[in-house]
Amino acid sequence: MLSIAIPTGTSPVLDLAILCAVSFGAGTIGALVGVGGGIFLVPALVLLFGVDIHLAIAASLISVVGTSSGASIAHVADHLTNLRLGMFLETATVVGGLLGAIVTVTVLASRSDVLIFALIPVILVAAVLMAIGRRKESGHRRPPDRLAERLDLGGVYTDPRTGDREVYWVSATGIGLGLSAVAGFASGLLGIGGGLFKVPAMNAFMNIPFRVASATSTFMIGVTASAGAIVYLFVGDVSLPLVAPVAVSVVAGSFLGAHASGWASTRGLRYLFVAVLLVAAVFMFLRGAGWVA
Amino acid sequence: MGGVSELEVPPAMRTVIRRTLQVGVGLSCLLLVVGIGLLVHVGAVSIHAPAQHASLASLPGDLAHGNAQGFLLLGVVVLVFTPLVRVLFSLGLFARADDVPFSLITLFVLVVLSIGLVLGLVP
Repeated sequence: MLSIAIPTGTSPVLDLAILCAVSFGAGTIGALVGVGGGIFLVPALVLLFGVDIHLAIAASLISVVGTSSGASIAHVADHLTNLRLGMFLETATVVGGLLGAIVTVTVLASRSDVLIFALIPVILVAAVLMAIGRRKESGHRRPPDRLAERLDLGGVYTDPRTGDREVYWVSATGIGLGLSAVAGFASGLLGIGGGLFKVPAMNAFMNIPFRVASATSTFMIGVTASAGAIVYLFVGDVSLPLVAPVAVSVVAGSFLGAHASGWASTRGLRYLFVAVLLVAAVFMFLRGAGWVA
Repeated sequence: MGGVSELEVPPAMRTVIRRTLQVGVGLSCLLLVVGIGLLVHVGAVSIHAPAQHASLASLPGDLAHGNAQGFLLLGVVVLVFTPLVRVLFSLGLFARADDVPFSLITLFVLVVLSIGLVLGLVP
């Protein structure tokens, strides 16, 4: 049977070093292209190391808490994160994250194939979004909806290119909450951050400028992933010797990726990562179908 | 530098959140690195080690005996609970500012985050 797994077992320390290197790479790429490390990490652990997808999801989700928290330190300091909006949407994502994780450790506890196949469309969506590239800043100004007005969810954004300060009002809070819940569920279920859904929800529907949406999504991901990670840690099963090096390496990689995002956001590099995701999707399908070890 | 200033956020909120995240991520990474180092030192490294339920009951003993398992578990616990601590501090700041809606919002998030822990503690 075809296998793309890295040969392991001869030297535990070498296995550890390779695992750290791959995890570091996943964290770096995730931060570079802004889709998070989980979408690269889960397939990498399953396909390259033969890790059971349940353990891979748990390791990824715990790592995502670290990458989100680390990135938010800078975003919060730079006043990019809309804290009120983020905390408001967390009410939905945290419920979704909890439920997604509970489903994985209970209903799907022995259904690795379902999880593998469920991850494939998410990988493909990530590839498409990465190929499209970053959204434009929100250029239209819709009035706030009643709930957004009541909770003062709006903010003031300074465009770094023009220096213009503009007030933005938040609208479509219902849609935002719904998509945030979906994002949270996907996060808990599959070990990803969920930013794939949250950023477009805020940018396209809620009238949030893209950079604010991205920073606020990153801020929310920590709580979302934490809700699921707590379930995996105390209700499900985790392999600490696997989780620890993965988490540390992914966090370290994300710091590098965040600092290198300026020079690395070239189209060629982005398309390379798209190709990696497409290959991962293909092999995950083959793995789910039992045609690849 | 682009930025956002919200209409109403307790003044200390950003500083408290940043410090919480810095301490949480930093401390957890330190503990995890120590745990990994101990695993390497005793020759117990295995990326295919069997999975298991995390048990907080054994944590004090493991740490006291310098077991790698203890440091790894504590590092993961600190990392995973950092957002919960952040939410807890946010709740305190919103309550002190008499911001009832956001006090309730953060309280709700805190309760949901705690459910997973409660589920795990129930035999």
